[in-house]
Amino acid sequence: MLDSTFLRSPFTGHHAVSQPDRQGHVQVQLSAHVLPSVTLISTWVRGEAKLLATLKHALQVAIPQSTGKTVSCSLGLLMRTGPQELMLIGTRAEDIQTALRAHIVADVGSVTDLSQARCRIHVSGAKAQEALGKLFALDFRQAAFAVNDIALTGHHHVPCTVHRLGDQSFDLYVFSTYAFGQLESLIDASREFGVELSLN
Amino acid sequence: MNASQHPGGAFRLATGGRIDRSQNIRFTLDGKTVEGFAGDTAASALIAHGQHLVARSFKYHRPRGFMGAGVEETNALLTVGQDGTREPNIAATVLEIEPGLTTQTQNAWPSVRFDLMAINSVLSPFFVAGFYYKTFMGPTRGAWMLYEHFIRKAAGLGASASDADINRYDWHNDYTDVLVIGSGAAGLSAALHAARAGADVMLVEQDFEMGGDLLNHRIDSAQAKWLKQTLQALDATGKVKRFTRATAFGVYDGNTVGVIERSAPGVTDPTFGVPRQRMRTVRAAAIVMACGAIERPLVFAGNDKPGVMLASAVSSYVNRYAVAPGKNALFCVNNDTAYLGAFALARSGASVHVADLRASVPADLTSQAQQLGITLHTSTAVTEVQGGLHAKSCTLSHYDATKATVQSEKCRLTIDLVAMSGGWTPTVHLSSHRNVKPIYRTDIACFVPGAFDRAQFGAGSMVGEQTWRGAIASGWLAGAQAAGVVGLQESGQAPEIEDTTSMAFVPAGPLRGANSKGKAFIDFQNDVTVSDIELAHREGYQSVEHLKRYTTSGMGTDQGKTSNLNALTLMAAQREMDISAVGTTTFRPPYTPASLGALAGRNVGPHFQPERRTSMHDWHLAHGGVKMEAGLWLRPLWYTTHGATLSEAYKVEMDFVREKAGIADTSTLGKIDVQGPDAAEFLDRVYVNGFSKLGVGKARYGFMLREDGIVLDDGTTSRISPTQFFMTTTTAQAARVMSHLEFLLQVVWPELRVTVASVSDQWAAMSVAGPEVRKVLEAAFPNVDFSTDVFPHMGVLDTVGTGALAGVPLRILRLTFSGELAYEVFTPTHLGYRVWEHLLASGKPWQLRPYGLEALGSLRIEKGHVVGSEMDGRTTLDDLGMGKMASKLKPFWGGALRQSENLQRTNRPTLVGLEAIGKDDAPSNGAILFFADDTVQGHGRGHITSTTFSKSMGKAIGLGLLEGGTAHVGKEIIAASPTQGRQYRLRVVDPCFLDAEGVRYRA
Repeated sequence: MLDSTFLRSPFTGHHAVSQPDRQGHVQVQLSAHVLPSVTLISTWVRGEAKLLATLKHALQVAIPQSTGKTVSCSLGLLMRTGPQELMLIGTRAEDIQTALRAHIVADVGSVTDLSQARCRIHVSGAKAQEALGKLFALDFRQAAFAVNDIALTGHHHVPCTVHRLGDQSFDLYVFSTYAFGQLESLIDASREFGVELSLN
Repeated sequence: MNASQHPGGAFRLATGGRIDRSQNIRFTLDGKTVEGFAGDTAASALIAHGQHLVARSFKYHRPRGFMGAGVEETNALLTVGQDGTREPNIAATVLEIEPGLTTQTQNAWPSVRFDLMAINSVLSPFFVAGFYYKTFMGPTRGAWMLYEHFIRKAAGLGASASDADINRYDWHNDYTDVLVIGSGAAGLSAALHAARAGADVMLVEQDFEMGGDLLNHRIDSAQAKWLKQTLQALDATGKVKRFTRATAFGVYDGNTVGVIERSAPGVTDPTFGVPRQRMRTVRAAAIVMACGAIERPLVFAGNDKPGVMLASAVSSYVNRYAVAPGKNALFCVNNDTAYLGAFALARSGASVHVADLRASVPADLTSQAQQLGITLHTSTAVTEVQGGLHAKSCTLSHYDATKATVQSEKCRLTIDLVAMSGGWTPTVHLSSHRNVKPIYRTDIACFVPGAFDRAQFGAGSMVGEQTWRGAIASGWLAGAQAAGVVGLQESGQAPEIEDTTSMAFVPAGPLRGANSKGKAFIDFQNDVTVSDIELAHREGYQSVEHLKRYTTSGMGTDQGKTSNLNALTLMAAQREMDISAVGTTTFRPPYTPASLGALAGRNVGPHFQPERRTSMHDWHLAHGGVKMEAGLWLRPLWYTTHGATLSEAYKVEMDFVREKAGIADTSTLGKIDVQGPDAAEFLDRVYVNGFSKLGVGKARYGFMLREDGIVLDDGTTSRISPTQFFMTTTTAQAARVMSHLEFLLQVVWPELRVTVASVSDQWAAMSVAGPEVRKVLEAAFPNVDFSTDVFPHMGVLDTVGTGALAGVPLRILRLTFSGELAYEVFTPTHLGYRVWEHLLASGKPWQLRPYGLEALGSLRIEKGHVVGSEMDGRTTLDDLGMGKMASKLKPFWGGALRQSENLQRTNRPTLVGLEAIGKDDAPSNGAILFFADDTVQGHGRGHITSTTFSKSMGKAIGLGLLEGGTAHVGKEIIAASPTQGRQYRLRVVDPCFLDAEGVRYRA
């Protein structure tokens, strides 16, 4: 069993931040997290139907039918990130890949461990959308980006998956090697609104 | 005159206006304090104190004052701020005053009142159109560089800051259903309709108040009431986001609009991250352009003197700012709208004459004029304004509007203000950005936008509407059309204004009196006169585009807002053509000047570009690693613990790799997970060499080509299971290879059951190299047998650490880059730091030390390994000496064009090794190679791709691409560096300088 103290977060070096705006308000709250489990589930061009059927059977949930939709399942949050691609954000540090591979065998699709390839930055607060609007060319109106949906976007051409949790509450899934800088950029973008950062 | 002695200025009216008299604000101009009120611009505050002279003209250094009251201002440009915050060429007419604001006049020395460069005005007969082109052409080609230095000092606008700007700028992305540009009657009407239909509306206004031309009317007028009610109605919908100080400066593809939003006075604060300006990139489903129209100046001698301004500017100063710009005024007009200013000024107590070019004036205007004591002269034109630093008198002449000709001189008036109105020019700039060609409407003597781009609509005076009713109706319709784009509709009625004033005018050319003296200006900012346009025509400049460039008319910060139509009218007259046939010049973004800071936003300093860090980044910095940018990655180039300088340290680092053991962070390599039943077949097609027979637990080096047969990348791919491979790519090409593989699978071979996933971020990697590394690894990973029999060269092992690394997943590959016995150790990213430290601790007995990128590169040169410098997008497998790797038993991507004639030329430069002959022969990368008997000139026989100093060989060595390649081994050649002006003697050798048999890495 891996000792969790061996892990070093890509956010190491950042410290908790509390920078109110000129009026003393804090309107953006950030928190940064390494993730217990991230799994990419994918298949080839002509394997989509078979993979979705297999996954539905394995997870016992209705699989999101279009890119940008999500569903919660017993293993975590299942995000449809592409026509032949889903991402499972696991809630526990368990061997999800082995469990999935029991169903998704080689001629059905692929299971790839990305647990340490992604990190999460949570953004919330009255000005969360405003702050994110500085970084991402994304329509944050609810009609275009509903709660529980995801959007694959990027800042400075660096990919980021945004998951909307509420009107002003978002999870950002960022690449680990870019995570430090992206958090720095978010803090900077949020400064005028007053910002707090907590690290776990 | 009803001017008070109020601190707001002697010319400040006691009542009226939209200023806040409770807030006194002080700012400075050239160090002198000026007092105004909140809601004033620098222009209105200065005029309130009677100061009109604020500038000198571009070329002739003529005294200039305020011509307008908004973005059309062409004369009154100030430099704002100091040091790092200094910004030149800000129109005083749009500059809101705020406490602490500092401004300076520009292009004058020692002052605008006494400017020594005004001598240019005397010499003006020489400074005609094309003066620079005609005068400064010789005697040598380089002479211009000398002239330019002095010309720039003598002529020009303000100087930009050379210090870093301490202000903060920002970006924001906005999405909306309907973007309305302009908040005059048409824009407000459009926004109201769209919002009531249920659309999300963004309303952007360049001014600091909503209302456009409505603001130029008295605060108790029908227009002002309509404005107030409509704004309330807009807010009541809850669907409209209103932005003042927000200029739409450009319209781009996909209904994308660039908007620069300026902070209100006192709001910007870099310490709290509040920007001075914010660039909004607005993506709208539909756009309504209600950009209004700009008043056209009249052209007469002395029309540029301080005290001569547009009639609409007078309306604005009196009605909006409660400032009287003159006590004795002449209005010279050709339309009804100009009477608004005349009436306003007369009400303030000034003596007003109106010279109307038309023979008759509507009765209601005549009647009002009489009531206000205005002297009305019909069929009259101003033909000259006299005065030095300010207008003092003017000459009126009889005018025949039917023939558009000036007749005999009529009289001379003593005045301190001349207000002119030559009609209106629709602001077609933004629609033109979408290549919507303006078309000329003879009935209103204006260019208006042609057919708008998809989901774009125009409204108001911009599209030629002449009345309030027309503007509001067209806005209402445009709002409906815009809402319709997103499937919404509303059937209410537009709120109307009871005012039937028309913008219709009688076009007028230059008003030249029989005895007129002095220059009549067309383009005030560039000092282009009537005679310049006429000269250009005489010299054969027929096209408007040529005319613009030859005379500079329409250039500068105002982009011809007030000059274009007058220039076109004159050009058309010269060519005896209709204006429609002459056409217009091309309007390009930005509509008004955009600061570079706003365009850059927060992407400066540490936020200039994203940074990519490996797991061991902090370790490197803490242990003397000197970071360098490699793409977006930050990598240690060398370690200060190994030497005081780079050239010292990397040799030390090379030594311990060659003699003991070294460890390098190679996490930046691209890593791709390839899975699926057809994965091996896929790799066979992608790589030039075969992979289907590669055993599980084995790795193979391979090359992949582009479709055109040129090398794309190299790397090592390991077989993890029968259906899974672990591919590594070069750092530089990681994203490109991933994209290439995805393209092949999705487009070219969709039948293959293969997936690819980038796992570059999942794995940290470190290369451990040197004769002692087996012992290091045995100590670090005691559960693994590293003997060659069990773990041979190109072997791969997936394992889990024990002891101090208990439970840590590890993937170990035995392969070499340096030519030494070497292993690459991969571990999940968050564990990289721990594994790195563990390896260093385990390797202490063998003096394992980290080495940086410089040593890494030098070690590979000694071994003759190619990298990006050699695989530069022009080289083939054969060029790199790798042709034998290409399989003849299977096809592969790029294989067909690899055989093309050009790529098979026998004289292509191919890879060679190069070594210095003399001790000082150390050329740098890019040096051009020549044979010994060649003339050293031109492109030569090839070039050097990589160089280093090899301590083991005691000389500079390198790799290069040379015609004939290794056929020249042993020959002496020349490397020439044109940039350094030096030549070096080199000997051609085999590219592998070290251990060609591979004894070391196979140990």
